[in-house]
Amino acid sequence: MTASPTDSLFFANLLPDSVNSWHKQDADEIYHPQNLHEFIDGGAELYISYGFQKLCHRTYSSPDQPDILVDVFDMGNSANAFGIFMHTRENVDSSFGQGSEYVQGFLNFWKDRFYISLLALAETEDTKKALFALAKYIDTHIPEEGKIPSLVNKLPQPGLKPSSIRYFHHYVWLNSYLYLSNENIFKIHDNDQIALARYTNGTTLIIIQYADTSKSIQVWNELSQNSFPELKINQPFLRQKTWLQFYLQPPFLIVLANDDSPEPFKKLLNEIVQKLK
Amino acid sequence: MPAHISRRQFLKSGLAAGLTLPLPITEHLFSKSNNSAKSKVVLIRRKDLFSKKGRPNPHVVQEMLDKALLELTGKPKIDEAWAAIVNKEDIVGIKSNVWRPLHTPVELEQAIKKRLLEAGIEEKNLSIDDRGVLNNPVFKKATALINTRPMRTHAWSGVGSLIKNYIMFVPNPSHYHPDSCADLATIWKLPIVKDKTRLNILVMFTPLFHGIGPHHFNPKFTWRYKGLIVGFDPVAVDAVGVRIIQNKRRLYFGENRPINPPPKHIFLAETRHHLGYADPQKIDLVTLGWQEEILL
Repeated sequence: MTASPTDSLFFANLLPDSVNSWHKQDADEIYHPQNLHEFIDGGAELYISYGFQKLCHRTYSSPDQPDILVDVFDMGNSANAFGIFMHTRENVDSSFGQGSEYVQGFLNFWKDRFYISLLALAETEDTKKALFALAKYIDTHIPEEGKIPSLVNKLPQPGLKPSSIRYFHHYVWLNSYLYLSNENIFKIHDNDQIALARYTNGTTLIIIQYADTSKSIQVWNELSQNSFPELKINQPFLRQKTWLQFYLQPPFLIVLANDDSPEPFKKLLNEIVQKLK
Repeated sequence: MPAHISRRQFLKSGLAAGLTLPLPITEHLFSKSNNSAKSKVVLIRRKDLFSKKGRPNPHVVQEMLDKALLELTGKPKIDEAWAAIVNKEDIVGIKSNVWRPLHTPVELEQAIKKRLLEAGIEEKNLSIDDRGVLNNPVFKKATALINTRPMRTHAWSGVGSLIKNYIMFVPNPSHYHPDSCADLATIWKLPIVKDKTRLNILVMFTPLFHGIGPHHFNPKFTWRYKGLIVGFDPVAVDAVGVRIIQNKRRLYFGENRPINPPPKHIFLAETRHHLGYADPQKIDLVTLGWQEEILL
């Protein structure tokens, strides 16, 4: 899809025409939620689940060098840009934007409401230099910084593994990180938020912030009636070899999980409850 | 060579003897009417698969495919094996996969095509396609399909699988996206493909076991497994592939790192849609060739 004049102008300000020996090829391609699947083969739903608004794709070429693909995702707000960046991170550094990672020919970072992916089709010393130069240019041309989701800031810091932080709105990801069901048993919808992190003591902590208090109470009641009768005694319990504890502090629902022991739950729960007050 | 219920069933069906009707031959192989039936899956690997230039060696690919089919069909000769899979009157679509970073290798497509032509399929009745299948005249009137693609992790469905490879047979793939593609197996019940699949070949030459970024590909997360997984039951073949990918992730990351999101469409293909077997207890797996780091 060819860029509209408005889109072209906006993204032209973020991207250089050339970097080192690489030059822009063809017109920029602009994608929206309705046609993102034409660009990302099968993976569009991931970005749509994070509130994707618009994508600008540009290819840079250089003689006898692998192409470099640059994708600038406008995720609508900084929370979603942070969320999609953190989705598959292993090691986060601060080289570019508000967090970045480089893995063998692939550099990605987030800043403000943007998530930026730079991919060299093969890694060479020259492509690596070009990727870093491109990232620096784009970083410089996004003037504002965005806020990390406030829910993420509620995660207790002691023992937290920074690269394990996840932030999302879709139940598929909740079921992926902590498998309790195939179904959407927590009734997660787009306007709900979830922050998740792992701790050095082996605990996974999940905070679900429902859009309204009544929904959190309703979900709690349904869970205790249908899936987790253990919730009525408000103590850790064992399910499929995993220790679990749920805690309701409307509109927040907290889930703690640990494969080995529920012993870390009490301290962690106290910390999180204080932060949510 | 061990006796296999699925092979006996296959031979018993009579169609294996070369009947000329373009019937759903493989349907009998994992029929749920016989509770004791298992789906036979053949994994074959060759250490010398790749040339010095890094391309799959065409003659090695051909040998791998041939040996796998001899084992799968129980036939002594390759022409008999293919005669048990297709007949001369068939119109055959080879459903390939063109995903740029990890596509179905042309060496495999050509190996399949060669044997189909030798089996008497007319060239005009044979086509290899992926994204154009809905407008491809051969696929539109196909009586038989050969389904082949590489396995890779996938950002929404967990893995790109043989089951998922048929998503190009629907005009609006996004209709099958809810719940991380849980119900992809329903595509296999659509008239354009129902009961037409004669063979499933999962390419495990350089599988992708982890994905990052929008293009979900990085050579760092591939490895030279050098295998093909072949079977009549797409669910069983996919289930074996997933097991290998999962074991590779455990090895690479040094901890249990489940595929994310979980490839539930494969397991629901058995439990909800009854397309085949994902349960390892119901899979009769035969391994041939190179056994080192087989990850099973």
